Amino acid sequence: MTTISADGLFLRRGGATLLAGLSLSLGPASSVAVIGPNGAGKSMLLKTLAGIETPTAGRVRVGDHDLALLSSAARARQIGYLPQHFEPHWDLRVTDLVRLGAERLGEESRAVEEGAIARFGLGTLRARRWSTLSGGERARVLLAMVLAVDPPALLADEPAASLDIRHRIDVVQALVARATDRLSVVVMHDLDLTFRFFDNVIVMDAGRIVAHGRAQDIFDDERLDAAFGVRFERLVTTRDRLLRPM
Amino acid sequence: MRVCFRAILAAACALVPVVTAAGDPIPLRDGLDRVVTLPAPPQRIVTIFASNTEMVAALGLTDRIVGIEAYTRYPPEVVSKPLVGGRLGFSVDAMVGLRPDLVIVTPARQAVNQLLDPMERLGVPVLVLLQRSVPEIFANIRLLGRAAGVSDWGEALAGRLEARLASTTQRVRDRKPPRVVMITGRLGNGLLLMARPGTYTGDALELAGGRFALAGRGAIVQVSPEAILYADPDVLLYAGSAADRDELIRRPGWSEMRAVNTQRTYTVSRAELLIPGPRVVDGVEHLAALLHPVAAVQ
Amino acid sequence: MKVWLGLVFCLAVAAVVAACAGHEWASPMDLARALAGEGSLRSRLLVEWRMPRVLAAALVGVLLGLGGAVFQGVFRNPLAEPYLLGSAGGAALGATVALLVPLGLPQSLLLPTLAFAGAWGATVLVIGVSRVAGAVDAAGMLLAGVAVAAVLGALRSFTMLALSDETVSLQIVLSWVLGGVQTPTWPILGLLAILSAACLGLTLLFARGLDMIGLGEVMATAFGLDVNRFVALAVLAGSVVVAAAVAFGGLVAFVGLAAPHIARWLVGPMHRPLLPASALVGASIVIIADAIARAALPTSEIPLGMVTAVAGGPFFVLLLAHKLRT
Repeated sequence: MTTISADGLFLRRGGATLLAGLSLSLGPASSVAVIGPNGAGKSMLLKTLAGIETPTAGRVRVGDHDLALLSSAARARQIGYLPQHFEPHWDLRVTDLVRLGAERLGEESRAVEEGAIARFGLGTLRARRWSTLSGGERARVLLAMVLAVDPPALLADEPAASLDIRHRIDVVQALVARATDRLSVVVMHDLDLTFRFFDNVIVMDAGRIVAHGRAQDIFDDERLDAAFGVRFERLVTTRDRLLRPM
Repeated sequence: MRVCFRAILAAACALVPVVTAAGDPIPLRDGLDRVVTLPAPPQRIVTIFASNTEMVAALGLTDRIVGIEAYTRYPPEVVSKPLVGGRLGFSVDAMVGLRPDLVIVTPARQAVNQLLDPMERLGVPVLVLLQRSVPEIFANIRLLGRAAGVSDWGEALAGRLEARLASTTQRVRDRKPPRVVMITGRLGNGLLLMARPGTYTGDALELAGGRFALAGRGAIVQVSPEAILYADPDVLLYAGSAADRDELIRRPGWSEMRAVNTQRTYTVSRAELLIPGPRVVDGVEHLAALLHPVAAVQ
Repeated sequence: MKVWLGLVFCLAVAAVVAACAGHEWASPMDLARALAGEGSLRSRLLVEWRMPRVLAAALVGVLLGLGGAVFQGVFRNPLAEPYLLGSAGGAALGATVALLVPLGLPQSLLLPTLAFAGAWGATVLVIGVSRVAGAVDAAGMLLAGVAVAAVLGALRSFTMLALSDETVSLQIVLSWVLGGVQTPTWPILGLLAILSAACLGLTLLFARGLDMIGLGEVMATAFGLDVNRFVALAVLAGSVVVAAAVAFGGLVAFVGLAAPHIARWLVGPMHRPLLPASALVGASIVIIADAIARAALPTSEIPLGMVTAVAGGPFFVLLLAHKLRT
């Protein structure tokens, strides 16, 4: 169980300000969706929270510790990161990839590896090489790698963006299912899935957090329309809350 | 009066050869079969390489040498002469500055490639000498004598050297020639250079009463140490310092050689055996003494 | 398992063939007799001169295979080869000094020591330069490597010209640069063997990190690897291995490039099996190349680096064709 908080985060790269003074506090156990228009800085926020990008100003804290002061190994124990694009350089087999995920904390664990393979239904794909896998299969392998050692906090960057609807749902469900006792922060593009599955929503625009709150509250918030530059029609069905752009 | 007349006559006689020589052009054929004609005995000679310098000096013409090359160290009188070349190649500018009327060169270290064309275009005669055998060295001495207008001296010098050589070969003629390997250089990768047939060094070896243990079948001059070890010569000669020779025979496998086990590994003088000049006869004599000790003492 | 047995068998066959090869070929029976202690000159030379050379060639191949695998893993580039980061230029400079400067110590000691120091020193210099330039990632190091190699090459040429004393001196240095294994004494061979084992152990320490870095720098960082620090350490370790290879074998082209590739075809890209496989493949290649070097032009030898370069060319054409087709 761990919280992630950020304080006055600024991120400047090559003359552009990607994050303009962000503060937030997340966790210890919930599912958070980060939404917003392209270029809002969602991926950069995630990378900064994961420790992959170093902020130009401001601090990220993981639990009680300053992220910048944590060792790489300690950080990897606390935070898992699921990238938007993943392409291993060498054509590894599924079992190798999952093993690398399972071993990343330094301990070799066959049990963990087997558990991950089972959990994500990779039993039949064990000996297949990455280049022979379909998009959906690759997404499952990546999930297995990152979630093999179930980290207290998971930051996922549009993990299902290029998948078909069924796989998208599967991935999002897997990420959200953790939220009972772990933190999952996911950058989402699919607003319907966002409001169906996530507890909390953060809306970003131009490097700033525009709105942050429970999903049902953000759903009605007009700042959502302003951020996306579109007027939404709100539709509520028995099972879902849907936003239809007008 | 008579003394005076005699003096004048003597002077006139002395002058005659000079006047005659100054008048006749000297046609020559050099080692590359080029025809070189010298208008007059050259007075400003540039000698490239120690061998050519030594030969010209041995002909008594040290005064006429105006330029040498950096690796020449003998005879002592020439060491201070201006340099026209060294480790970085040869300088055509430096040579032209010396206004030579003859350049003597050997086709080693790209000297001929670098110098022949420019010198010919400048109208400076160049004699290219080859030395594939010891007799060819003597022929070179005679050629240089003719070129410089001192044929008698050249003939005399060559004759003396031939006589000494004949005496040595005579002494060792009936002795059984030992199988010899003479190592003349070592490369960075362990390969070795050795005296081989068709060179003056190899010829010197045979004249001194030795026999090649390894002819070097390959087209390439460098020899694998294993080939030398397999050849197992009776005598191993090393052209260099004793320290280097000792380092070589300490390497793996060399202690198996009979030459090493019977203490017949000797150092020989690089100056005597690797310079194709008059001192090569010294080299043959010393070599004969090593290969056939009893005979040499006679 | 079969693959490993095959590799070891291949190596054994290569060793036997190489021991038989030379300007005079021996038969395996001659070899057996010699090992049994027969006293003829030929037998003694087989044991005293050829066998240590074959073993040294194998160990140089081990080192080249290991170094090549580390460099390809760090730079995630199948065209990465061990001499990338200045080690070739540094080694050549060290060797030039050892061969041409009279330092009073025996050359059999001086040459490997200075070649090693030059190779490793050059890589340390490259890492330093890339740090100073603020470009500590893999690409920055490669650029720094190019720059340092150029300077070292110029220094070497100048040293050769300034110190050459006789006709053959340029040839002396060039012959070393073209690569070649010289028969070591038994103590030196023992040292080389220990060094090779140590290098195997050292590189295996980096195996997991190399696997991680193969996932991409982002994933590797997310998995807890301090990427820049790891790259620097791995490069230093790889350079030690390459420097040792260069010290005993000169600049042997292509083995560091080809051995990891072949090993990857056989055992896959995970580094814990790849590193030892690359070592075995490298050993076989260098043993055979050394045999060709000794046997192709009797009484003389072709420089080892030339043999591997000539064989390397077609290998790369094949590799490119394979890549284009898949």
